[in-house]
Amino acid sequence: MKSWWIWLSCVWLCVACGAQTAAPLQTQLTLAESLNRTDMTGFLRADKPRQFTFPADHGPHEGYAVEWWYYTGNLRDASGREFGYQFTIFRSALRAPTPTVSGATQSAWRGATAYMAHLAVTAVADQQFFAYERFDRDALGLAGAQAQPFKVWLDDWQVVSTTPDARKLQLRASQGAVALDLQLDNSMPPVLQGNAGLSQKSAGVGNASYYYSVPRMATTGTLTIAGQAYQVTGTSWMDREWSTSALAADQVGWDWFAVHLDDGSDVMLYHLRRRDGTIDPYSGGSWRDADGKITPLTSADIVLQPVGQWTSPHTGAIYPASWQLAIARMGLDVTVKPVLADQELPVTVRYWEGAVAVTGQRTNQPIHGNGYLEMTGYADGGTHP
Amino acid sequence: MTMIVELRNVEKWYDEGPTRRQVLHGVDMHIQAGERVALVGKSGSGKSSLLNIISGIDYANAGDVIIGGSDINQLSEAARTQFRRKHVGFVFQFFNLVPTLTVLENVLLPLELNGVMGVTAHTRAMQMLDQVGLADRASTAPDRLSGGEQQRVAVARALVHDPLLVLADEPTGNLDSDTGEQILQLLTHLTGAAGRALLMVTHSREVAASADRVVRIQAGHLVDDTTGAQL
Amino acid sequence: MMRVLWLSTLRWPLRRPWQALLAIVGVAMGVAVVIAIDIANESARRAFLLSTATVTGRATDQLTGGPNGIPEEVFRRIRVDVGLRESAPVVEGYATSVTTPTHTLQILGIDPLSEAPFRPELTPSGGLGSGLSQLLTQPDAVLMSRATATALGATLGQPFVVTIAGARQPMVLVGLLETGDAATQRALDDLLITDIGVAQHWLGKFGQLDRIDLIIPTDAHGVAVRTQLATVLPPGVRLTTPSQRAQSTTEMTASFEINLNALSLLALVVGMFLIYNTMTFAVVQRRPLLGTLRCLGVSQGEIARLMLVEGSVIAVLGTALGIGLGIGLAQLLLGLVARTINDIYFVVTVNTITLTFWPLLKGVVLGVLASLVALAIPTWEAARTPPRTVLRRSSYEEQTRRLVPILGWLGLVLMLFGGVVMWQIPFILASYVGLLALTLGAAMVTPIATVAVMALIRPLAVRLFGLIAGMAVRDVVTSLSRTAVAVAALMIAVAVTIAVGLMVASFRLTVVDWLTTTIRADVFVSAPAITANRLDTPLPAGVYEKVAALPGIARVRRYRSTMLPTDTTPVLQIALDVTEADHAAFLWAEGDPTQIWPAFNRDAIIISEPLALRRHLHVGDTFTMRTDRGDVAMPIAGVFYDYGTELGVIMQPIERYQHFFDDTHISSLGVYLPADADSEAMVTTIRNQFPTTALLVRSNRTLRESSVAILDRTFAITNVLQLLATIVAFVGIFAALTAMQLERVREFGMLRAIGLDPRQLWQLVLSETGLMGLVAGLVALPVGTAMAWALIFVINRISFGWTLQFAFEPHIYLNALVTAIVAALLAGIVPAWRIARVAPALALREE
Repeated sequence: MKSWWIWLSCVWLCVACGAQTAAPLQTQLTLAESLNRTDMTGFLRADKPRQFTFPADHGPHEGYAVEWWYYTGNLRDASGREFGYQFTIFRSALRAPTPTVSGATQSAWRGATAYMAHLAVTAVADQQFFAYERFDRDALGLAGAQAQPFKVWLDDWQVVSTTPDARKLQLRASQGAVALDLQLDNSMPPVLQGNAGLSQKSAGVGNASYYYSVPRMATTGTLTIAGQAYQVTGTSWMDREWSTSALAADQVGWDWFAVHLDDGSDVMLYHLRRRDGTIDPYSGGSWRDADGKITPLTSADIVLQPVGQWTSPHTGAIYPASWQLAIARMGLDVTVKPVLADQELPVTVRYWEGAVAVTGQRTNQPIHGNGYLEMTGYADGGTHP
Repeated sequence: MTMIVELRNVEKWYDEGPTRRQVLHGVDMHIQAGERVALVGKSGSGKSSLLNIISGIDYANAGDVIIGGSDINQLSEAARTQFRRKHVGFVFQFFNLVPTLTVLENVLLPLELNGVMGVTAHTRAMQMLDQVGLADRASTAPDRLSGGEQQRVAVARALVHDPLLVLADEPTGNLDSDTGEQILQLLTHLTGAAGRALLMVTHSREVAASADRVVRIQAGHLVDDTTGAQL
Repeated sequence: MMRVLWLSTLRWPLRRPWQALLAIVGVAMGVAVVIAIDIANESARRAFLLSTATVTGRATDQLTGGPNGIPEEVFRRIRVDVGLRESAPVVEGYATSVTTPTHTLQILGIDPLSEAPFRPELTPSGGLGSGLSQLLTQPDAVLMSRATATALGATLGQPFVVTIAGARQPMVLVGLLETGDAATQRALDDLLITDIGVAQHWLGKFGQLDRIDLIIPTDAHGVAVRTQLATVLPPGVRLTTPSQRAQSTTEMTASFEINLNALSLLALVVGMFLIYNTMTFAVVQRRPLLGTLRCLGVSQGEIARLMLVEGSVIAVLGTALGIGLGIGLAQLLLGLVARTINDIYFVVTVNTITLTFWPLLKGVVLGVLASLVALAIPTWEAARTPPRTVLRRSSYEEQTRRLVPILGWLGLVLMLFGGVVMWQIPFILASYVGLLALTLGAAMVTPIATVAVMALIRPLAVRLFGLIAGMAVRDVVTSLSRTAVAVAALMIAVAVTIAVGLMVASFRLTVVDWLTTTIRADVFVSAPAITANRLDTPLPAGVYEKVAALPGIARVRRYRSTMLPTDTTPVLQIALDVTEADHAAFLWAEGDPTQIWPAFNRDAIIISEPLALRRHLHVGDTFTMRTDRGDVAMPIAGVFYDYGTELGVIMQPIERYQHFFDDTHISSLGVYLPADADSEAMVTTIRNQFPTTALLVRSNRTLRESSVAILDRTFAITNVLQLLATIVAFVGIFAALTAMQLERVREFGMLRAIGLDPRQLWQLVLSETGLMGLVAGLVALPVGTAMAWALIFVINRISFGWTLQFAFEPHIYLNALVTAIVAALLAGIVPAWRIARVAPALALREE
């Protein structure tokens, strides 16, 4: 479950704002407005389950309006110093893939697709957070995605397969103070979310996405902060999603969790908040146990309680400070707590996405974990916890 | 008796190309305080040259020009100008009031040049205008006045800063005889009373007659020195 | 503070308000012309720099390419291979509005997704309605400021039309750029922002970028980036800084600006004469008053101070008025300046003047300084006034006349000095000093010339027109102290007229001759461009082939003109076909034609005379050309005469050009027809071949005519300045003559009293002023010729590098003479009228 509206609004606003100047403008947008892709003509819809094939489905699906490659991970170096990272490349169609006739389309610049990317690094020990944003068009090879060999990139930020079957990935991105150069193991079979990969987000046929995850990717590599290189290892989570439309007008935000538990289970769940403060029944998630068995979760399976408040010094937005998560079906009752309170991304449309630590019990046994939490719709007039 | 003007063996000549034109030959002359002297002579006799030398406008080629005790012939041009503004009062044939100044301002001018300003100057100038009977015309422009009135302003201007010596160059030359008479009376009255010396250059018998003494100049020589009565 | 003494002086101008007013107007006009030219130049320059700054944004560095710009692939290398995120591609061009008056519009094609670090003010506010997504997706979408939209009559969401390279181009306004401050708003004037892909389409620049803006940090990382950049850039692409680029562009107009400034200074010189004249009169008129004051004991220093203060009041008032006038005038001149810059140098869009501190300060300083210099002599004269009340004017005049020969000799020496300086010191500043010396020297010679002319004329005048004419002649001489200055001022103005007239005529003659020699083809085909005499807009593809295939054509020559950047100002590069038949179209300043052409065909280039002079290049030297293959040193085979651009021209065979540059475009074609063919018919034929393409198809005659028309247009501003200098001079002579004649009311009263009737007084006054005009005109003939010589052979050559033929045009002399006399006569009318009206008795009573 990722940032529909973030991406859509960004296409509108990207130029106007730049990375640091978004605040005054985002207030002008309501979620419904930014979601309102008025003309879906010419795009495919996620309206029925499909057959996933890999590595082809790692590549782009240009018939759909939006798509993303989402990597998050929790890393540590030999001395136990902890880090988190987020690297995302979004694809968005500027127009339907059917060619329109105009003189300017002869120009290489007038492609039908634009890309956005976010890079964020959290240094837990130093309580530092770095985040960057980029945009490009699918022009001249400035940005793009391809399945064979797998590669998705924007300028010099990129994820490439180092093997033909895309089982090994290399993630490289750097800007400002931070640089990532990570090897990701993509050999685990993907988890198809929702109904065999069709993830319904709101009522109506086609208001859904195709969604798969690779929850556990063994990760090694180099993470550099301010010239200091750390040799790190850890676990990454990859989310892939593509769609043309998804959310309903009264869905104002969501909270998304991707958790690695130390008993080998991986949990993904999301929680769509409605304008009236209630939780949308289309919320849900999935449980993958250590053996690879996958159990879909519905909103009825999940109890999620925000605990405390954190007020962003940048936007004034009020976010939950942590969460209490209970999944009775799995005997899980844990606290999900950010490793650093301020992991709000200062990008065109602001949201909070950061590394978390998980502690609690499973079937009365202590359990720990880590993962990533995304909280959207708080910074622009959405509902508060 | 204080000697105001004392000329000793004054020579004046002009070099005109190769020739030298001598206009004053060894002139000796004395005028005492309170004395009113008329200088008479034909055109070209050297009257104006002598007047210019006495006033410090021109210098003598030789001799001493002692006015009020100092030899102005030894002074620089600037010093002579200072001397003139302090110690000399002028009355001209053509009045020569400053056309851009009012009657009062014309009278104020010598005071101002001598550093007297403000109320003191104003009072003194008005007194002077009162003495020449023109206090009521103080703010009039000079060209609104008749010739006699203009000359009365000129007299006031010549005397207002209390000079040692008043020089009058044909003071009645441009006036009818009655008006001329008035001016003469004013001049002699106002100079004599205050112990100043008055030197009038004139052609006029009446003017000469009003003087205490008449000095005649002829071809650059002082030839006669008689009292007005004798003339 | 001597209040009364001051009043005696300061009230003086109030008694003669006209005289004071004319002096003020004279100073004002001199100052006005100087600052107007300055402001107009400065405004054009600032407009250019501002628009450059606006379109450059915060870039620290720029990549620029050859004539075809930069291959857009380079941008990918910078982003993906070098990883320099702060980089933005730009495609630029110009359009013309279809409004009246037309605006030159700058098209800035950008990648909106790369813009944020560079040009935040060029991005719209207002969220969804702002038009950004339309910019990326909608064909022909543009953004512009509200002011520009108003000027173009464009409304949001509505299509409108402009002209690009002569062809109509529809556009849609999808968003308005709104910024707070006025300066930024002005920077957005006449700027059309569009997506880079759209710009490529409009301007026919697919695959190419005009430049890439970069922000490279100054730290170690920046150094690494620079090193890395060097490895990915193709040879023709260069890293430069925006300021270097802007500077080399604005330097193109340096000669043009210097010349305008010099002409404007001439107006000030005439203005100086005016204030000199006025103050001299003030002294002469006031001599009795000054004499009286001296008698009363006012010192020389005090008199000098009085005069200085009075003159300064005139100077300050005149300067203040001049600044006001100058600002107004600048607005009028701006159009002319901008048009010339657009015609010859580069495109600048400027509609309103920008007031800056320096031109105004310069105006104030020059106005006051010139006035004080002009005041020096009258002040000295005034201070020297002897303490006398009855002054013989004749003695003063005698003294003046004694001075006349000395002044004449001094003048001659000064003129000689000016000539030697111009001859010997080949620097533009020295040339102007020399010209100034020549001018002042001529002014000093004027009095003795006046005396001489009058002596010659007098017997003739008496015999032909009687005693009154004779009186008039003598009066001019007897009042030389007053007449001389007025005559000198008029003389200078007329001489300037002659000099500028001869210079323009010489230029025209030379260029027309040159055009006849060099323009040989019968029909010319080119693409319309904003810069009128620059043919660097490429012809649409296929035009050459189609024209060459037309029946009835002997042969077609191809030309490719581009602006070639160098370390200093850019030069014009013309690649062309040269066959033996074309050899006669070149006139050689240096080089042997029998050797030039073989060398040219082998590996050499030929360069224009201005380039050779500017860069001290000769046959046998090499010129380093920046090509797409890197720097190439090319030997110079010959130096040809050229009057197209002072920036310099380089010519090379088109095949060699195409070898060194990735540019197969053709800028223009020269079409040669068989001997008896009708070229106008061929013009029509060619036009009909391309009904939908904007092409300039011109016959030999039309091209020559339009070239001369552009030339004439560039002299429009020169003519305006010349006219202004003449007006200043006229005001001067009017003031001088009026004052002079009015001063003699008494004398005229006497003449009336002894029986002259008003008609005869008219005659007398007008004869006098007419004679003064005649003298001024006569003296101006040789002086003007000398000044023309200086302008043509010294100043033009130094600042533009042109060898001109001297055009002797009798009508210029005749016009000048007539102008001088008519101006003088006109100036005599008011005094004559007033003097003739005065009753004799009244006149006698004056003073």
